Amino acid sequence: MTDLTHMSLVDAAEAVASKQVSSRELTEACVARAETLQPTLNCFISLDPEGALAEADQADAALARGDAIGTLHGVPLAHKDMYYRKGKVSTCGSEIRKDFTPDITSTVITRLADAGAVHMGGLNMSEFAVGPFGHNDHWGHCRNPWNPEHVTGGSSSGSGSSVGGRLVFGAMGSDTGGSVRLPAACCGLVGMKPTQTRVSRFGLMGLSFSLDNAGPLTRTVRDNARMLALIAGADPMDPTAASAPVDDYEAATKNPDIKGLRIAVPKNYYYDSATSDVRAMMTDSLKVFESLGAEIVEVAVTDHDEINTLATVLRGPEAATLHGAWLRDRPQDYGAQVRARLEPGLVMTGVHYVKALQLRAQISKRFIDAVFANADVLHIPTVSMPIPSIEETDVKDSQGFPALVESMTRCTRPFNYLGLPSLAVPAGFTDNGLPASFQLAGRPFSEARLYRAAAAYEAAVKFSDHAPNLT
Amino acid sequence: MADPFMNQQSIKDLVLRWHEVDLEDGAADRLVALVNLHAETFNEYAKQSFFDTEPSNFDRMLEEESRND
Repeated sequence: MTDLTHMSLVDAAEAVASKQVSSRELTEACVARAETLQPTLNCFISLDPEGALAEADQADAALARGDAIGTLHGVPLAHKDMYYRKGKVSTCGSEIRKDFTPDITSTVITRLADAGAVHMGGLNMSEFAVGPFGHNDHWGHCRNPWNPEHVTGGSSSGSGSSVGGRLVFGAMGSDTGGSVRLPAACCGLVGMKPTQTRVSRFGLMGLSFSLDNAGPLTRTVRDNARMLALIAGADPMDPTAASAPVDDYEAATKNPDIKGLRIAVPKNYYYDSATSDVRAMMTDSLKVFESLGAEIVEVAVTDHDEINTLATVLRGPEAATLHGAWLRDRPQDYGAQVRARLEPGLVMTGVHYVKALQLRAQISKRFIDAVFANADVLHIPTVSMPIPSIEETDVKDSQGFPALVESMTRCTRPFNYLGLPSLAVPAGFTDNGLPASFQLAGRPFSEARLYRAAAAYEAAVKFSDHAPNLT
Repeated sequence: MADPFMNQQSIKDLVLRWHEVDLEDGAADRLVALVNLHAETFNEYAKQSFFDTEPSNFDRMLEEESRND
């Protein structure tokens, strides 16, 4: 094998398990690439080569002893720096928590470690997970592996950049309005926002507990399915985690057959501001699905504009409550735009907040009835414009920033309020050479179906064969 | 015409009184616009009675809808 870092997560795990390669060799390759590319991409907040190599040696020793191993045995991963690890600093991308050392480990991290994953370090992110472009005024902007002058998407910026740049094989992000799917879209990756409550949030920095989700970013659909299967399911430490059975997601990606799959395409809202090249990419991807035997049906989505306001009314007071003491005592320690996006929650009323909660079930049901009565999945853009540059989006709290944020998140944010699963899938490249992406959304707990459809598309277009040219 | 009730100064006073947070003028202007947008949305869109609802109906709906698949 010439370049170990370019394998898929599943192939890397199988290479270690079959002793074609040791975990140390794999981890050394990832560490070397991370150290080389960190000055260009700035995707790590903390890189831990010694810790990763020690874990790799333990993985190799376990294999040599003949111990039972998990499905990620010896495979290097890294995660958004808001997944708590007991005794390890977790900055949340902030100045305020730059020295915070949690006394708990998140359930997601525990489950990935139990499966044998090697931990490479904490990844860059938008400060406190606020920011759809991935800027960070404290730790420096993270950069896109396909073109470092362009944004990574946020808030899981380092997760997108590190996996897209082939520094690690997979990464966890979090998604409150698109923060897994946007960096996946910008960096040419697969990113899953699961059904609300599908994955435990225990030990994960909160932003808005009604809308927060943990989700993986990977280079292939099957990689993503493997990670979600490990982290999904009930958790005694998080009573909000759903007890619904976890499907065999990875099985859904093997020899996927989508003949007869009904794919809904919206007549309204999701294409309103889409540029011509994004529209062309979406059309091309739908043609691929049709060639695989899927049927395209047009639908009208419901309550689209109101959903964005209602999501804001949920997120606002929840985030402002978490940040209230720091907004009062340390306002200067926030980036200008982050502070400006947290302050609105201070004036939202309790009655509006509860109404936004109460309306959620009926609006989501109405959406499901309208979209999925005659369709199995919904196909929409992830980002409706070409991936912008860092310079044109680094506007701090200047007058135009709310519209800029809205333009980036308008296709992702509705699914957090609706609670529905949504998978970002690479769809080629727009005219500026940056990745394009579509989302597949479905009924609650239909993640296996989304993976099956995405895997069929992936097998046809082989998007994961494309890698950015980084040296 | 400036809203005599909800304006830059009144929202600054409110936030300072409620949360002891001192807003800048630009931030207060954004919040005035937001408050008015929310009023518009809820006054027009959510006129129904909420008497017989509670938030956990959302989690039940998700599970019920997954069974309707």
